[in-house]
Order: sequence, then structure tokens, then C-alpha cells
Amino acid sequence: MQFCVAILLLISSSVSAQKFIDKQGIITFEASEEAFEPVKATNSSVTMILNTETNEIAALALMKGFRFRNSLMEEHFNENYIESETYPKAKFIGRLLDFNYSSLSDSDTSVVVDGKIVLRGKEKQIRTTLNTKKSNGSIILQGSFKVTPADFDIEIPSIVRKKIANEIIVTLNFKLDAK
Amino acid sequence: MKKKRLIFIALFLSIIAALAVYNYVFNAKHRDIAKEEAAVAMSAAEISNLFKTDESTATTNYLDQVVQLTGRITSIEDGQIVLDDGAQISFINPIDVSKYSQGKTLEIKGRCVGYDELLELVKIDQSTLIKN
Repeated sequence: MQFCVAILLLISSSVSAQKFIDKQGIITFEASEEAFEPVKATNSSVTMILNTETNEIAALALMKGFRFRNSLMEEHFNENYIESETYPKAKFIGRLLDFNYSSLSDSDTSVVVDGKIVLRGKEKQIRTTLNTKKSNGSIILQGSFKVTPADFDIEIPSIVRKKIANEIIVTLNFKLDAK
Repeated sequence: MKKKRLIFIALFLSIIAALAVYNYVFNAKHRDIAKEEAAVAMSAAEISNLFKTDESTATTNYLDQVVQLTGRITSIEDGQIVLDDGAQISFINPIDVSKYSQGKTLEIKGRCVGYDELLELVKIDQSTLIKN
């Protein structure tokens, strides 16, 4: 009996210490202005790691992985705005607040994520609410938040200022599997 | 009369030329990685080691370059393959992952997107299969 309890404890503790990983998370950002060509790009190879014991979360997106429909826009994004040769990645480090993996259900519940985005050598504190649910053992994390180019010292030249929105909407979609 | 027609034709041609230039600059096609010659060929383990030991030099050398990589399949998931536990490969056209098994050797050509230090993986996108 005691042996069984010990084993059960061992199993449950190893389960709660699990890391959940997504290697193919999707981040889309959009800074479109009406009447102009959409300024929108998607990266479908974003990494996220969630530790369900500490609720710590880390994400990493490679800038060259953002694909635009317009190749010239992609070039400008990489060369003039993000400078992806010098700053090849964006990182997020933070934690999920009041998140409990074991009480996660099949229906969406909101969860507050708090942390910082590191991009172009600049840090930006961010706190936003996302949706989360459990699906076939995976954790789904979805939602969106807003940033501005000024948050990361990105200067938009006046000639294109009308074509790029002041607020950039960042949408994310992750499916984290137990590892 | 003849002069007028000449001016008209010249005007017409210059408009066409302007449109062509505009189209060339603003609607340029994306790079076709599958058709580009690989800048370098090595094993997946090698490129991952280069990034692991000196990320900034490797970034200068290989970021956005077309690379040809050979490696053993160490993981397969959702249309992506990891070679030598060091390079995560995603393909231009979705591949049928059920055709591949772990331990098999694969040769691919794709674009180096950079280094993911969370998972210690070099990410390669827009890949095509060369040999399997």
C-alpha cells in the first residue's frame, strides 16, 4: 500500500514538473491602415516553453521567419525597421498568473500573462489576457495584444507613416505538448 | 499629324515602362529557395555546433543563406522534421511525415532562419528534399 502511494506520488510529481513545448507556434502581426496595402506578416515557427510547475513561460521568434505577402515589405521590415541581421530574434520571458494546469478544461478560460518582450535590444513590460484550454493533452494558448513601433525605438519614416498603423496588433496561437 | 502620332506612341511606351518598373519594384516575387543554389553544404550536426559555439559569427555567415544539410531524423512532428537533434526543418510544400521514420538519413535544402537557443535548434524554412 505504502509502496503504491509512493509510486503515485512520484508519478504525479513528475507530471506536474512537466514542460510543455511548441516548436511551431504562430505569431501574426498587423499594422494595416485602411485604403493601403495590408502590413501583415506571419511566423509559423515560433518556440514556446511552459513549465506547468512554476508557470514560467518563454517564447522566441526569429525575425527572418516573419513572412509578408509582399517581398519588398519583407525586405524593408528586415533591413530598415527590425534590422534582423543585428537583432535576429524577439524573446518573451514571463509567467502565467493564477494558472493551474490540472484545472484546465476543454473550454476557453482567460489567463493573465505578465512578462517582458525583448526586441531590437529594447525591453518592454507587457501584461495581457489570453485564452487557454486543454485539448487532447495539449495546452492551447491564444490571444492578442498591442505594441507600438516606438516601444522598440523603431522609427517609421514620414513618407510611409500614413501606410503603417501606430498600433501593431500581435496575434498568437500556440499548441503546447508535454515533453 | 505624324508628329502627333509619334508623341502619342512615345507617351504610351513610357507609361508601359513606368508600370513595368513599378511592378518590378513593388510587386517583386519572393525568393525561390528551391531554385537557388545552396551557398554551403554540411551536416545538420555541424551547423548546429557552429551556432552553439559562436552564434554571432554563424549568424553573419549563414543567416538568410540557402544551406544544404544532411542528417539523421531525430524527431518528426506536424510536417516538420528535426535532423541530428540540431536543425528544425520546415518544408515549402507540406510533406507526408508518415513516409519518414526516425534514424533515417535525409538531405534537404532550405533557408537558414536563425538559432533558437531555447531548444538549441537551428531553424530552416522553405526546405525541399534532395535525397531520402
